[in-house]
Amino acid sequence: MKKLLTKFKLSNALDREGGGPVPDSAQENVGACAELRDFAERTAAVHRALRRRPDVAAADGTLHDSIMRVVRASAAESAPRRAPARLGFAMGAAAAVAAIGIWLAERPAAPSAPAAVSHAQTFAAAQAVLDMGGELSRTVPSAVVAPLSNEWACVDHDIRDTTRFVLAVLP
Amino acid sequence: MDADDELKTETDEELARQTQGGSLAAFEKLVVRYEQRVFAFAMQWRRNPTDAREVTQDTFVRAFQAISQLNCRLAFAPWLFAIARRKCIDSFRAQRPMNDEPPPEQPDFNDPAELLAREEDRQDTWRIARRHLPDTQFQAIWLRYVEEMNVPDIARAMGKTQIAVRVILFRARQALATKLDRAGREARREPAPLPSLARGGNP
Repeated sequence: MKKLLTKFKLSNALDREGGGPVPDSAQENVGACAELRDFAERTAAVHRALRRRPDVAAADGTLHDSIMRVVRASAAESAPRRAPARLGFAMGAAAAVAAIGIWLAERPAAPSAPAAVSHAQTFAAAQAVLDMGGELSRTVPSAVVAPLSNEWACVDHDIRDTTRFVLAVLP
Repeated sequence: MDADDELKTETDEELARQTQGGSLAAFEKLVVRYEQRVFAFAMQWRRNPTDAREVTQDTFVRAFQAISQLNCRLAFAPWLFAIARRKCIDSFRAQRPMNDEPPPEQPDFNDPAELLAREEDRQDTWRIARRHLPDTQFQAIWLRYVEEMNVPDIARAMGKTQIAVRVILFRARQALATKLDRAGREARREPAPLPSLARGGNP
């Protein structure tokens, strides 16, 4: 197992960028074992032999033309298919832009700034909230109110504070 | 700047990006760069120049159709060779002999042509590799030594993990070392007389 691993490391070293060095541990094993030494030599010989490029058959000069002819035909075929899709996408985008434009033009005017809200309205709203709190405490049955009395008191307190704050900030 | 200089200045990935943008001229430059390499790769599988040509053509057409799927931050060559490899497999499957056809001929070791071929094998590591290694191992060493790809690129081209590629290369080297060793021992032995000549001496 150890020998196999060392052989694997020796082979891997040949695939490192620039033919990296064999790891030290593997180097020690190679030094101590004739079989590994033999493997290292034979693998290196194979490596050198494979680096001599084989004689490969070259294609004739018409290969390029035939490839480009088929590629152009493929491009021409796919172009009409893409055109309707592009046209549809463009029309959809244009419609969406037009719809947004119309909506912007037709939508009701945005509410004016908070300063424009009349003070009387604010005061009336605060008064209504206060009245509602008082009304609740009177109308809700005591059986329901009793377990929640503390919470009701807190809510009532908060409402009063809020009302005071609202009234205080009014000019 | 002449055409050759211009070809060298643009990387494959830049040309691929231009092709994605719709430039057929950029793709043609890629074809110029790779057509012979893909053809040589296909020839190792198909042996027949007509089939190899067809595989090469199909590879580039497929590459052109699928170029939008290419991540241009990664190398172009492994992607192209992955397509070429698949096309070789498809071509091989399409022409594989059916079961009712006779099995491929076994080598006749009394045939002088076969003996001559075996002698040539001894002189050519690549020929031995093609003859004896399984396709996967042969592809891996082809991409490693002829295409000079590194392990991650080979893994991409072959659709395998890097560790699997390392194991494949290890086994290929081991098998080749054994074959070369055996061939070397045979070559050192006294050559036996050719059977036909030996028979010729008898009345």
